[in-house]
Amino acid sequence: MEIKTEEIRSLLLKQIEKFDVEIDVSDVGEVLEVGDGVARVSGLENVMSAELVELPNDVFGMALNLEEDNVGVVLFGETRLVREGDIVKRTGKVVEVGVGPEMLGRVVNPLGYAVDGKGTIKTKNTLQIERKALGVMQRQPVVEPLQTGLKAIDSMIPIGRGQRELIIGDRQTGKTAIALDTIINQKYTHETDSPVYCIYVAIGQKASTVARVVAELEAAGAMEYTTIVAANASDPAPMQYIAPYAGAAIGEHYRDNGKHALVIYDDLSKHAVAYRQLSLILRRPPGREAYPGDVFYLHSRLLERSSKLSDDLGGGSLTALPIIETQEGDVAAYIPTNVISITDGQIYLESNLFNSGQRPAVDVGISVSRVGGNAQVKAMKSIAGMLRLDLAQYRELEAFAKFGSDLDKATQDQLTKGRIMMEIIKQKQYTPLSVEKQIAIIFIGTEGLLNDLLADKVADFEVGFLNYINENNSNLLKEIKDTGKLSDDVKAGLKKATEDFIKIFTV
Amino acid sequence: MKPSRKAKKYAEALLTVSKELDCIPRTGKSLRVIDQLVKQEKVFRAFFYTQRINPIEKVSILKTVLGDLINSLIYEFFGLLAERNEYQMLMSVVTVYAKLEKESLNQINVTAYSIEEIDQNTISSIVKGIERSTGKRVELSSQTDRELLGGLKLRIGNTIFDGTIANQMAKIKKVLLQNY
Repeated sequence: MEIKTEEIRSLLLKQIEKFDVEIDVSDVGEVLEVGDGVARVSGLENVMSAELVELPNDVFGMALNLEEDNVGVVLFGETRLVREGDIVKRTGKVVEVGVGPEMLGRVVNPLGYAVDGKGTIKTKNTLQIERKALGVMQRQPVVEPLQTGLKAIDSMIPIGRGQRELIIGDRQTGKTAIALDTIINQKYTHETDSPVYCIYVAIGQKASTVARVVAELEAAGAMEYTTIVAANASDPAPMQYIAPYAGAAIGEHYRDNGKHALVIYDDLSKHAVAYRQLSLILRRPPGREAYPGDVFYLHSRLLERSSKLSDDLGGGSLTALPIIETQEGDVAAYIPTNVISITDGQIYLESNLFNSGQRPAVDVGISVSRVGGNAQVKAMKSIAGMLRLDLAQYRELEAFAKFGSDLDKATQDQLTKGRIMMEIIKQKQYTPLSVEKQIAIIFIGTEGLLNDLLADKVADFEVGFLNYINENNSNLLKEIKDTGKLSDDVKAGLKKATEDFIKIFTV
Repeated sequence: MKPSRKAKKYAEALLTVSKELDCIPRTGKSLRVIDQLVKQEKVFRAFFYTQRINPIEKVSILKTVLGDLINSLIYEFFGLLAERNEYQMLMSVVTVYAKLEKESLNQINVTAYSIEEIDQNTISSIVKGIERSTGKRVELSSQTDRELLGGLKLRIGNTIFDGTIANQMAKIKKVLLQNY
């Protein structure tokens, strides 16, 4: 970092010139007791709810409990630096975070301060982290797709811009992988006129995990349009509590300026745990599973901020992909049911599918998207129905598969097609596919053109086939991309290309 | 009722009765004497909080020992606290009463912080200035703090007026850190 002595000199002179005219007036209070990240402060009579307060040693806090004779302040810094009798100053500001393009490519803490060692972030704008969600009249239905680049999701659980789609599953089932693939897939949007900016909020995760995420996004060239808000496991609970709200505020800046943003909350289970810790220390009464009574509102007010704005307001959008980690597949626990009911659908990841090699391990039977269908590309919509049907029939017949040749031909064909379709929706991590390529491969699968292939050859076939049509029939892909439809000519072209490529592939 | 709210009720009642009997400062002084004795005298503290002595006897012993040093109203108040077994609340009542007393006498406490002792002329000019702007009687106490580097800091209730060099330096530090 280069230090400009001339600039420092002028700053010093400016401060000295102002010296005798400025007297700071501040409302103060005194710390009565402190512990576990919460301080009780007397005084601070006019403090606002969620106001930022300043304590000695550069520790900041947020006033949460405004009681008759004291204020409960949650601390964003180290508790051990705060002592009984310390003076607490009001700042007059509700907690804010810096927003804007300056935040792109950076890793910040929930207060907006850089933690990536790349220097201070000077943003032109700030937004309050707690903002009221927009009303009905300021919104419009979800109409544009947000492509994840994953065949299983874009075909059967489509996500629209402005939607809230929950990613739910046990530990180690690939929840974060789906989120990261979605971020990586937004790269193509930056070559169009409606780019999607991404915010990844890491709540209560290991610092090493966050570092890995940063490295992976950097390697994929996705950090250029991404901001990471990190409240690690070692950070105090108040930091973890405000992290998703800070992420939402950063995303809202894009939305309010007619742009599109995607925010990932990884994960809200840990967020609820951090809030439970805070609430119990603040002596709020515990309820079910010891969570406080307002834990539903905690998540509903956060997720309600995701929206598709009306055209009058610029038509921007904020899409949210909250993540919930379940314990032993228990989706009926308190926090999972809350978030399921708040969101517009869920992508359910199954441990058994994951262990059997299905990646992404999406259980398409119980995963849904309530609003994304309206935003889905028409061509995809026309083939997704057949895909869903094939997979549903396959699941029903799967139990009979062990009888093998004893089954009638129709059942055997159905099982073969189902097996092929299950292979088609498999996808490696960090290899998102464009929507036209997804349509092409799913179309030939649903048409039964791959039924003669062995299931374990499907992945190789897919790679080869997509390269083949890219080189020899790129006009087909282009037409799907431009029109968003599967015309009869395109269908015929795809069938022909498949037949040609199968001859080459099987030799 | 929360203990703090109860203490406030007691203090308000004491103030109202003292007002009727025209003895607000004397009641305050009596409470401060008790406060001081409880804080400083181990034996008195033990006697004051013990539940082994009958409440009526305790009040009569206090009357014999302290006599006119304490307002008779306070003895009655002790009797009430003893009856309800709420002696522990006395310290909170003393604090709240002191605050209410100041309000009723239109008085404010001001603390001035500087790097060295402030001379009498400066003190009286500060007092006059604050009295003029607040319209209240000022009780000023001064404290020295070498870390302020220069200038003056005033604390009026829960408001701080900071015109010290240390504060200016902290601001400069903040500006420089923001730029680098």
